[in-house]
Amino acid sequence: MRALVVDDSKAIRRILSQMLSSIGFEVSEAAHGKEAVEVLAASDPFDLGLIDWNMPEMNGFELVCEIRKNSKYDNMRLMMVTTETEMSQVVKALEAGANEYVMKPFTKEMIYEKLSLMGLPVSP
Amino acid sequence: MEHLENDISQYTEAIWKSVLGLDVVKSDKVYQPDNLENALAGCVHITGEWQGTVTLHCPSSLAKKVASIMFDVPEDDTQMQDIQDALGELANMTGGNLKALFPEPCYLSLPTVAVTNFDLRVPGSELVCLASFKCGNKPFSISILKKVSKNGSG
Repeated sequence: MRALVVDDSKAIRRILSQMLSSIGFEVSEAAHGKEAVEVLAASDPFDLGLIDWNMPEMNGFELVCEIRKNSKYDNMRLMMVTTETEMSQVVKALEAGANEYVMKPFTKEMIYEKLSLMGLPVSP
Repeated sequence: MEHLENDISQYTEAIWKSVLGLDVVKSDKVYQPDNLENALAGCVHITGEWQGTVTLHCPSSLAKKVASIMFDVPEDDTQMQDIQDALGELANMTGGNLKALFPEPCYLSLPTVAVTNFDLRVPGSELVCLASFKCGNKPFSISILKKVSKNGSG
């Protein structure tokens, strides 16, 4: 399984990547939406994208819209991992094509539970 | 004011525990940067129905500890870029959670981090709440500043 972690914080990318690697994911990283689009175009399809909302260049909401425009990524599950706590933002992200939504701060258990809900494996 | 201070405490304790595994306790002693050690301030701005700034102010030794945990490296091996990244993300989480207390819609800026041995000044803003904490023996503070309109009504 392959995952793309998109967050402008290097620390958060490291923490999420480690959580996913420890359960067998092969992880790539991008620091903002624009970089994520470049990584997606240059790679084999990903099974999962963990996406922050507030990022420079292209934000997470715009990235979700961009990904969902391309049928090539129809099987890619998308989870927003963000400090955006307003319900209207949650609904907006889900309507745009995100499958799940986690608010920061998160725990490993919260991330794994959401992966399970999306039908993804959570054991190595 | 007291209600807001309790909310800050609740969010701060939860964030520091879940992200860093660290216990923080509320302190009556207000954190003031001194000449003995550099201080760092991470801040995020909130715009929309409520406008203001949330800051996290701490000594560099605590910021270094935060970065060492988030990057899983010894404190002495932490780089300034990583320290700023880690503190910025903590400020981002704090601001994001506190934003829920304000009327919708509100929008969060990207975090910025400054090294300063002085109180952080945000022109055109007034302090509405300051909460001080201790993590071990290291002090830090979270403040909420509200943008003041030109007619002074906020």
